[in-house]
Amino acid sequence: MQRDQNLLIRVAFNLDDRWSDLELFLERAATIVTPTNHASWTLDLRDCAYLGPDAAVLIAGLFDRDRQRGLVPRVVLPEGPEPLRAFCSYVGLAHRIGQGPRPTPDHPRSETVPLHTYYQPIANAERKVVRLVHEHFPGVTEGAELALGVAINEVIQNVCDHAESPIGALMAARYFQTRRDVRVAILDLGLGIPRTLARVLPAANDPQQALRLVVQGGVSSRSKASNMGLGVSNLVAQVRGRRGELLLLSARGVARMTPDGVVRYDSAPVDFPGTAVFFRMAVDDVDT
Amino acid sequence: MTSIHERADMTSPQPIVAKQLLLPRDTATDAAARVAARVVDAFRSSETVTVDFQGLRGVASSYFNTLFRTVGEAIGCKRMQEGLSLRYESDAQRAIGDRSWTAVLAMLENPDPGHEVA
Repeated sequence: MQRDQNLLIRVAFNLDDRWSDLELFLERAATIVTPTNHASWTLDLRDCAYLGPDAAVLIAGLFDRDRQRGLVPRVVLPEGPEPLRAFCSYVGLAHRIGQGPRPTPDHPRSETVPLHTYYQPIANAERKVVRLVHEHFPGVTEGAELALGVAINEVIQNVCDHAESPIGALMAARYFQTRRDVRVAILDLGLGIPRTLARVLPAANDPQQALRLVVQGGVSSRSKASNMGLGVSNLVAQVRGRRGELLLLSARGVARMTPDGVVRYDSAPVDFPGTAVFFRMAVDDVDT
Repeated sequence: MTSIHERADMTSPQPIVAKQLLLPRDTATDAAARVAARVVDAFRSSETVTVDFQGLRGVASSYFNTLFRTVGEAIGCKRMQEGLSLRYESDAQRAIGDRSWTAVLAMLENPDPGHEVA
């Protein structure tokens, strides 16, 4: 594909934060997901009626990466319904793609933590998400705060330590008042877990096996002295403890944990260039 | 010989409050290294040192890995196990810390485990 060509990807379905929607998106957008694409592209979302934080980080990540590569990516956002327009604004997707003002996360009705890029693993990366939850639900438990913090910080630390991601770690989150749960999406477009781990563990070349190993814990590429191979397994433990759901996508592998704590491994429709971590967890007392 | 008063000081230092050593834009490993330096320094004049993790609600494994590894390398595993007391905020935080503690001790006692890199 040549640089002066322009691919048109039309997404005429909703992109909720669930694997079936994301899988369909990856199939549809496979050409632009792969870093071997050299054509500019237009992602037409006008017929899409729902986007969640998972889709927001995916779209923004691909946009950022390909703009860095000198391509001309273009995203046509939906014109309605109004809640979707508001989400695109609050989550910073419209601003990111040059179609809107900088998001205003302090707006009292905002239920969103806007897209933010981390190039350094700051110790309290969860701060914005915890603040958002507090604003809407002051009764958030300390256990939920800790789980959120550990989960977010483990992922961002992993990205910064291992991924060599050209877009850093891109995060967005959204709080759902009716369910009292929070959804967090963190994406990198770096080496991916199987390739990183295979440096020290050849068996990890198999993407599903690589995901099994990191979910189980105790294996690390030891990119940094502080790596002990506990990050993903700690993430899984925190989400499981909140009866949450988790999706881990890297290369051709996908791991999905359901609220019963069971993790299932499958193959992804594309060789995903990096790692996407999407999770949701309850912020009230999970025992009541 | 040390005096009774000095001996008392050597066994009951003030806890090191980890949160007080966390700066706004710190990385987890920078913050942990700062605590570790205080701990190592405190062990120069005390037989036991306490670290209090109250308020560090969201720190991840790299924080504890760096802290325990730095201290363990400086004073040795045996002394760290015998003299370092950890005050966690919750059982959930203790679980994170305990996993790092176990992994660091295993690594320090067997630094070249081949492909078993846990």
